[in-house]
Amino acid sequence: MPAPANRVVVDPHSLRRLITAMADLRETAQAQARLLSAHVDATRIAGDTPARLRAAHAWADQDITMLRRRLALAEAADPGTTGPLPPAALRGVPDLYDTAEQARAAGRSLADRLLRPDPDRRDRSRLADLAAALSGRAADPDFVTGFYDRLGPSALAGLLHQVLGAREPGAARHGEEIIGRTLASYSRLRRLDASWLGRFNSRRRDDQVETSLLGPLLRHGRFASALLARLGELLFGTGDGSLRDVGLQAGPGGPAARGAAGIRGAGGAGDAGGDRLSREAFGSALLRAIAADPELAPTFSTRHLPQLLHASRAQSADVPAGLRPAGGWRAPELETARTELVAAAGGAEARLARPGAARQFVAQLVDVVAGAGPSEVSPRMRAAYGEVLHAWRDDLYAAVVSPLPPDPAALDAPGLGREPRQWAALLRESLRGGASAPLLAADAVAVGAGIDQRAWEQTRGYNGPGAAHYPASPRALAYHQANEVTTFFGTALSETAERVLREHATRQEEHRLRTAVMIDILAEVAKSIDFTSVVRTLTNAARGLTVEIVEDRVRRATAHLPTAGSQAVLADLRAGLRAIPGWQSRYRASVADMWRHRDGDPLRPVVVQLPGGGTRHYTGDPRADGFVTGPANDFTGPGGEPMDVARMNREQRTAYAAWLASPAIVANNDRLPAVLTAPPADVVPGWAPGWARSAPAGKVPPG
Amino acid sequence: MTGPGAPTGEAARPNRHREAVEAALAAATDGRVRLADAFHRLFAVADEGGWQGRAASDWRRQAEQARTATLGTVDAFADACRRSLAGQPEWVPADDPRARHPGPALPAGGR
Repeated sequence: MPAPANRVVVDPHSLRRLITAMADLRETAQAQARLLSAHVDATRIAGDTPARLRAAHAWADQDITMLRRRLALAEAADPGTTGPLPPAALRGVPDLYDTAEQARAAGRSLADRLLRPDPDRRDRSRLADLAAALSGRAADPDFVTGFYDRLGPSALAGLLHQVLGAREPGAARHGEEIIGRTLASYSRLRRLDASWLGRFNSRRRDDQVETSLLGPLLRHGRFASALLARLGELLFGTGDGSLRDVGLQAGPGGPAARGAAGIRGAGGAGDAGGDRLSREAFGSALLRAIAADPELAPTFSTRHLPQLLHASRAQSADVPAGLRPAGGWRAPELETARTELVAAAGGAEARLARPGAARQFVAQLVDVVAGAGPSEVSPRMRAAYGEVLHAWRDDLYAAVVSPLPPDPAALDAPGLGREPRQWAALLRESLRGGASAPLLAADAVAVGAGIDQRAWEQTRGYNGPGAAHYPASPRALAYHQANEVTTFFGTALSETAERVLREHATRQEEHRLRTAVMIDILAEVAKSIDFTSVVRTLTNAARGLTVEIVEDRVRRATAHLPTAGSQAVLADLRAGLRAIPGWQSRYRASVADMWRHRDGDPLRPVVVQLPGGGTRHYTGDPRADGFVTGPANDFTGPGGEPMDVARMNREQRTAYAAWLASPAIVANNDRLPAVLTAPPADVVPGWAPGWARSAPAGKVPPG
Repeated sequence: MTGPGAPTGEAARPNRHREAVEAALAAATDGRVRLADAFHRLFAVADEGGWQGRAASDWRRQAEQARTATLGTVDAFADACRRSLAGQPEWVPADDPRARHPGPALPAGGR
């Protein structure tokens, strides 16, 4: 399919294979040239065959260089993508240069033109030409490198003063977009270290950073993680002290013609919310850029989590207005960006890009929020907590349903080694914002349903014809775990509601409006939960509830919003929940007791059907059943009984947990109903299903 | 020295030059196949359309010219070998320089 004229279409994946084919051809031509040259010499047959083959080799060699450069251009057009890249559409300008050096030289030449003295600053076409030239070559890494290498940070700061101070807002926006895109590329191609940053000012100092000039640029490209991290340390005042953030400079050496005030006023059209060259605008843009970098967001946020949460708490209504800190990373204007960073650091993308760092961030978030107790962070921060909990819902509920006590050092274990009460603290803090409540309710229902489904799949057919009667269903533990999930969420919801109700009773009028709306929302969520269906829960709940919708409801609330109905709903919820503290240790003890008496009271095997056909025979013996496979994961001590869980290593704990939940162990545990106190309906003590009653006593199923 | 047409005179020797030309023809035939395959793979990838535009069209034209020139020169060498073989006897007198020819070129370690 022919491409339009003056347009280049490059599929990097296909181009890579073309380069490989070209390299094969080059090697073949070279080998044949050598071989036929020897035969020409041997036969003395005149001809130019070897020379022509060497020419083919040289042609292939030269074109490989050209194709590799084209590939670099295409990849620079979409540097964030890994693996097979989509076709990149590049305007035909990169075809101007055949070699990287030609492109770099052209970039240097453009910078030279800008560096030429222009004392009157009247060369308007110079800036327009710059924008046009850079715009056409933004995807050419060699041109960009040549340009910024020659320009240097100080001249770049001076250039930005001119561009951002352009009298026509359209020109300023275009200029900042082009410089933003190309500077982002440059930051990934070169290491913009403290020395470079220290010279990024219009006064030719080597220790000052005009950070405000970067604010408008950061959203136009993907800047190098190292540069963003360095700027972040500067923002939080945690750098090495060698650099000083001077925001925006004015006066001699700076924007001489207009001064900082002049460029502040320019180019701001459409940028609602004030000064786009302020320190706050830079801070917001920087935190958003870090949030958009899944490699950096979790590590950076882990380092600065206490500050991020402190800044959010400092803006709350509990802090008198006069005492609320302003400026720098604490500024209230940065709150939205702070919450976006928290959500991104614990989000799905960060988890995929940096699993270890993301786990560490979420574990720290759980620790910090649980350690701080109930606190006043912004509704947006509560929504960010909700997004994190949604992304990590399997870990949240793994902590709740694990029969083992958490191992705080085991960050890579399900539940991140955090205690259920710690996760509950984060859940309550999120629910208090209201906006995340429907989503988190749906998560609880989904996780409970998943546990149920997996238990069915793993013990499929256990009660088929010929099966014996067991004291308990091999699914009993899973049933209990599913109940635990819903109980855990319901408890968090009702405790949150009770706290809001208490606040409603004690707060001033203006805050009563907010708490009344919150009670309403939590009651709606409580009513909407259908633990048998995720779909129904989401349908019942206010889907897509956002911070904005909640805030709108608060604004529209009347002074006498009745809360009696909602309070009744929440009271019912509270009464319907039964928290069963300590079931895990009781369950482990019951298994140990059963195992200790296995000689006199043998375990009955459980036979289950495997998904691919065939059956699996569970005897209860951790070795025979494949849970203990060697000394590394042998969790048994003297007498073959499980050792103290505190003394087990990681592998032993994993094997022990799997054994505790295995069908024969669960199914033979006649203490189970008493241990768990809330038995599933089909395993009531004293009751046995029909298939069990008809089985001959003591008969062991085949298999 | 028992093949058909082998001379019976004690002075007859194998034509070593002819053997060299035969080996050169075999190498040229094999080399042509290898080069044609390499070009075929190159154009097959290029035909996928992963690179389009004016420069791609120019490159395609150059590549086709390179194929024509490369295969053409190997064909010309093979033809020259065939012509040379047509005028050469398998056996030559012992004092013929072709009997003292070092023979086929040794494989150069390449393909």
